Amino acid sequence: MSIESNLLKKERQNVTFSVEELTNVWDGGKEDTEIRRKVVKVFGDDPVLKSPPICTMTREERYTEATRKCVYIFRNMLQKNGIYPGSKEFEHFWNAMPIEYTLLIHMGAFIPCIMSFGSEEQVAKWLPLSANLNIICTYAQTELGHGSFLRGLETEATFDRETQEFVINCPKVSSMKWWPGDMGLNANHALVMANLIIDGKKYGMHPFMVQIRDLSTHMPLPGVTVGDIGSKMGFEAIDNGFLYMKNVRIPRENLLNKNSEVKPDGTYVKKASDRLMYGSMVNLRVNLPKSQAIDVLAKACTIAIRYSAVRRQGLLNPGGAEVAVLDYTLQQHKLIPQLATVYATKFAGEGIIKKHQAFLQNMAKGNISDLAEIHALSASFKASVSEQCTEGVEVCRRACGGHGYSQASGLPHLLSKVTPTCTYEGENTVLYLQTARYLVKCAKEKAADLPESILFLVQPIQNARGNITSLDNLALYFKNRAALCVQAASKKVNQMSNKGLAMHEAWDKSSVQLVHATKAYVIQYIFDAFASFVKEVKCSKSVKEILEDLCCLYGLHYINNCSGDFLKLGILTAHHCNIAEEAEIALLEKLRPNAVGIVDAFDFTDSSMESCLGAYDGNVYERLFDMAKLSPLNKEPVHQASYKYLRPYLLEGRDILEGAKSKL
Amino acid sequence: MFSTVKDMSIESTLISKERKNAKFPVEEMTNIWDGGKEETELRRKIVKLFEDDPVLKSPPICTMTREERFTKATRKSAYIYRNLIPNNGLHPGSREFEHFSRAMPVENNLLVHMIAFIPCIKSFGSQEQVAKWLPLALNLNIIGAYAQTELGHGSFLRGIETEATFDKKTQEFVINCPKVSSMKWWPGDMGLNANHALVMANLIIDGKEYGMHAFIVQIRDLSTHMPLPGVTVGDIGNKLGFEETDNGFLYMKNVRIPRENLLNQNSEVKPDGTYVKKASDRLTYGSMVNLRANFATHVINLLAKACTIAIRYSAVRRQGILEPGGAEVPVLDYTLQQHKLIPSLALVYASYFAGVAMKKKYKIFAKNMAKGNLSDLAEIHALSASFKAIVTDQCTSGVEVCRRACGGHGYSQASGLPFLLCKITPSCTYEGENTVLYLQTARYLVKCASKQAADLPESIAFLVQPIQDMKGSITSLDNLIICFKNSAALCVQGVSKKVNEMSNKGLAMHEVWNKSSVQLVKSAKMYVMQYIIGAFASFVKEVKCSEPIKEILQDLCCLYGLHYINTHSGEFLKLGVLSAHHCTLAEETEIQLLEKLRPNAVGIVDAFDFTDLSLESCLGTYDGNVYERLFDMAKLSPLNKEKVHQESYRHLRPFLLEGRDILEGVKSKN
Repeated sequence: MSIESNLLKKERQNVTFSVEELTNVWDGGKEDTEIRRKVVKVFGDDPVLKSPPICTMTREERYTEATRKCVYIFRNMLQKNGIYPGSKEFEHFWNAMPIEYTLLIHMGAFIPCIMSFGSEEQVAKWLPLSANLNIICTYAQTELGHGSFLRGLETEATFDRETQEFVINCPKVSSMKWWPGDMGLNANHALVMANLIIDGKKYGMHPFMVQIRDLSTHMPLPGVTVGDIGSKMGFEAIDNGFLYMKNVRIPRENLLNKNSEVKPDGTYVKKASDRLMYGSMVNLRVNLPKSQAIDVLAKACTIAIRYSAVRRQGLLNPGGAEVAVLDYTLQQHKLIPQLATVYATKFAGEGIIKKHQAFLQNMAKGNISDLAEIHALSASFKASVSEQCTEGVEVCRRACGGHGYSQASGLPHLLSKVTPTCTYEGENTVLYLQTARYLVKCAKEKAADLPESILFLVQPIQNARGNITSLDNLALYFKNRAALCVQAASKKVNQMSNKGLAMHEAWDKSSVQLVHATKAYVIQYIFDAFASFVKEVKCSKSVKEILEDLCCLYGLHYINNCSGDFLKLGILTAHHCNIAEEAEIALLEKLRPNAVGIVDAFDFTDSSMESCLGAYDGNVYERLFDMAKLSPLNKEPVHQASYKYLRPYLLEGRDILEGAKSKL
Repeated sequence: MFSTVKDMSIESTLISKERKNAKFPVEEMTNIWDGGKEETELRRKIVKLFEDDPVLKSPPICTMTREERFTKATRKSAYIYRNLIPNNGLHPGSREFEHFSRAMPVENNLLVHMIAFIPCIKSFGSQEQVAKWLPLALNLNIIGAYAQTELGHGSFLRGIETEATFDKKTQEFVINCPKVSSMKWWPGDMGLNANHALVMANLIIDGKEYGMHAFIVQIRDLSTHMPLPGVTVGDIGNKLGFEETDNGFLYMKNVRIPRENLLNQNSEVKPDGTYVKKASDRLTYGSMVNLRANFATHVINLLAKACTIAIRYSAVRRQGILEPGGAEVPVLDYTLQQHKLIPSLALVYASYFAGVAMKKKYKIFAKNMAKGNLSDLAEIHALSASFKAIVTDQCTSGVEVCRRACGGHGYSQASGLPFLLCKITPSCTYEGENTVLYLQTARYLVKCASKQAADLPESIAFLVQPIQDMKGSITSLDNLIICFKNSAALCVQGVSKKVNEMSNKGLAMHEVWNKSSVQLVKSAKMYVMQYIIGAFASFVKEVKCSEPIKEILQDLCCLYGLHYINTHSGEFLKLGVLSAHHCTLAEETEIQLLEKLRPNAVGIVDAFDFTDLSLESCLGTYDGNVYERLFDMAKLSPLNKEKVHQESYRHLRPFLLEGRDILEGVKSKN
């Protein structure tokens, strides 16, 4: 057994709580843990899903492998193992997916869209086809020149009454569709968002089903220029695409017409409110943080903490033995707060999912009164979580020193996967401003007119009592800060506009403060939701204590990093801040012995992380060496293509050196 | 498909308008940046020489595989060092040579050979050894790696495990890596290109350890380039970046080298095994200072490129309307976008000119050192360590801010931004891991805090002198400097006091140090911040230039300070250096400065004078034609070679044909 393996074993012996119990809390119950493990095992054991390590493949190999696996999973494996949509197993199925797979937009964006935009008849036609991969369809909204600003999109769908067709056109280079996943190579259809034009009149954005490749040969259809957009920082397995359409004609029935319809004579009929569409956007945003950001950070924590427990560097005690880097306060200060972030955001996210489910039930009854609140909350939550997790992954990566830069560590892959979450599904800055708009509006209202979760904005500030680091008091600080920040930003907007500045200018000039206030708002939500969860969860004392400590650490770490706000607003004194700093260091020390146990509780399999640093057994150095041997550059002992440029000079060198030797 | 004869694109028109609105002479700013008009000319001359050379042309990086990138980089580097440089009289020491790094292709190899192996031969080798190895290395007759870091140890030198045991009988050293974790790991050029390595290993004579020494070890055959017996060497695999470089592993088992291959300027092993120490290792510390200052310049250039790309793109990317009913505006018109990008520009300027000041400081130190005066060594070492750490930290964050400010396109390799991010982020780790460096500086500062002002170098005496009062506007440069000086002094004093208190309570010193380390790092940061803002402010005061340029430099300096204060206000408030009222003023002033600098933003990045070729960015080219360029680049994606990607399509084909039959059946029924 290597020294490293032994070290990790010792860490596990010192853990003071039941790891299995924490896993159950994480999964939502013992039964869920079992089902998850069962599904993960089905995937893990299947020989068809084996492929070489990602970090040894070229982009083309990764793309092809990912498509191969995905097709197999959706067409064979799920059925073979009785994993049907709606089953409990199906809920865990994303946890079991291989690290890289394609057809995500087809499954995760197109299929939900067809259900929200299509009439019953249209759903009946397209849904089975897409569920069986008889068509592959992408969701084509973003254009080369426009993303966040929907009204700026330029693709046009002009109604041709004579032929009963829509004619799709991208008028400029900047109007071509750009970015959608699966679109470049795999898709033969696209759900295209385009400006509907009838008789020269514009009706705004509508969804159209457009066939883009031949059904027999898969060749692009006439008028369609489609392809892969090239290499990216990550998601290399996916064929994000460009799609330029020139006079592409589609039948009238291909306008998805649940909400609005074009009659054969060109009459435009609005059937339902677009506000309902927001509901489905919220849906995506509610589910995105967990799988694309929080789980990613949890993996990064697992890798970095296990590695830090076996990596030895220097002495703490002069004359003593070398210690694990995790014994250094500075290393703990980097990593353990990331663990707290994982827990806080995961359980706060579940709070939003519950809120959203309640909202959907109300919506089904026609009540959408909570829409604004849930939209504001989920928008800022997505923005804040994606930022915190991205930062956290980079902290974990750098905390692994040089090896964190190796693809073999798995950390660069996680970083490049998490960082675009700050941009896609709503660019974060744009999302913060949307929430800010809601908050500023709320700040003007009476308490009686506001939803309960937002009441604190207009109620009197409460004073903290007793131990400043208690969860109750921390929650109070965050609430007070959010209220004061939102009020101050609102006041500023008002003052500026009272001074005669146009409203849009007042808004723009206050935008830095508005975003800041929104962040304060969503952090108070996250902290509060996690603290409530910790209070209510039924578990052993030792697990509860860990959750309490993580919650407290989340709050303190945030306060210590943003102490300026709390001091400026008079919520905390300099003395409080010193106490908070000391309390954080004390908590790090207290959580240190359980750190490996806490990441073990995430229960990631080695194959789900593909990390030489993060494997369960701690054999980091053997694994790194084994992986290095697989580098494509090592195929031959001499890399002839490169050597040929050096060879003439090195042979000169040989002659000089051997001449010198023979003289001796 | 698209007519290539186009009127000027909207984007091109927008960026020309930006340039017309710039309120200062861009060329003058370029001259200041380069250190004078003449330097600008020299730099342009050599950049042109490289860019015009047909041998140095290659496909865009983002369209090549790793193997192609590695091979191309080796080809170019061999050509540059063996042909281009000697043929054009660009000898090291010539003035042109100083601008050499700006002219190098975006990816090149043999960097460690040139900037680590060769200098180390010079520092560690005797005259005779230098005479033997230096010409060989300069002519690429040997390629050498600098092999220090091991798989299991990096920052902690004493932990390094590779051994060199003296064999008296054969007059050889026997090199061994006793464990897997002891193999050399990471050195650039080592995996495939190098046939020699300068190996740092523990010297052992007659069972006694003498610590780390430098040995020249041949690792590949001089005729065939095959690894020698006992040597296992290769590439360590893919990384986040630096894909063109063959960072390597090197495992040595009973590799024998002649006694003369111990580089023996500082210490020697006699034929009978007697160990002789000749000089102090302290002297080698001095050269590290200069290395770090140059290294910082390189890192700052990467952020300057990212700023160029992000600001040009933000001037042509339109998104939404500010004024209801108005036209769409470039994203750079939004305060939030300015708040992301313009402080990064300020960061570039501040760290760049602080780096210039540090190089001057080093020159003075080097003169003193030549006279045997090493008294400033500790200070300059502490300063350069924390300077390297903060510049790499801040510039890395800055590049990521620029990248994300470009939205989705910033995630495309075609933007050039992921490449810059991957190039800059390891700078936080190599050449001294930042956390380790901050702690080294902190150790020096805590030591200083217990001394009298008279016993301290002038530049550090403020640590123990009374706090100065700020007079007048808190946002004046003078007051900002005082504000940072006071904060640094109070921070260092605070943590020193804490360290003393804890150790007085009976805690062992190493525990005290560990428990205070978070605060120690903070104080090292505040100390180096006061240096940077002070150095930049002095430069701005002294530089001879036109009024508009001076104003821009002042604004950038002020913005640098204010942005830091506003993002770290807690530290200033806690120390009582600033009040809540001050902070509000600082925030407002920052927004005003952004607005004021906005019209000059494109001009300021133009002044960096990066060629399109050196940026390799579809978003950052001078002409602003971002969309055409993105499309042209996409067409080159290796996945687009065929209209149907058969390898992948074959997995989908059976199901899509089912789909065809269903859809065509439906159609025929209609």
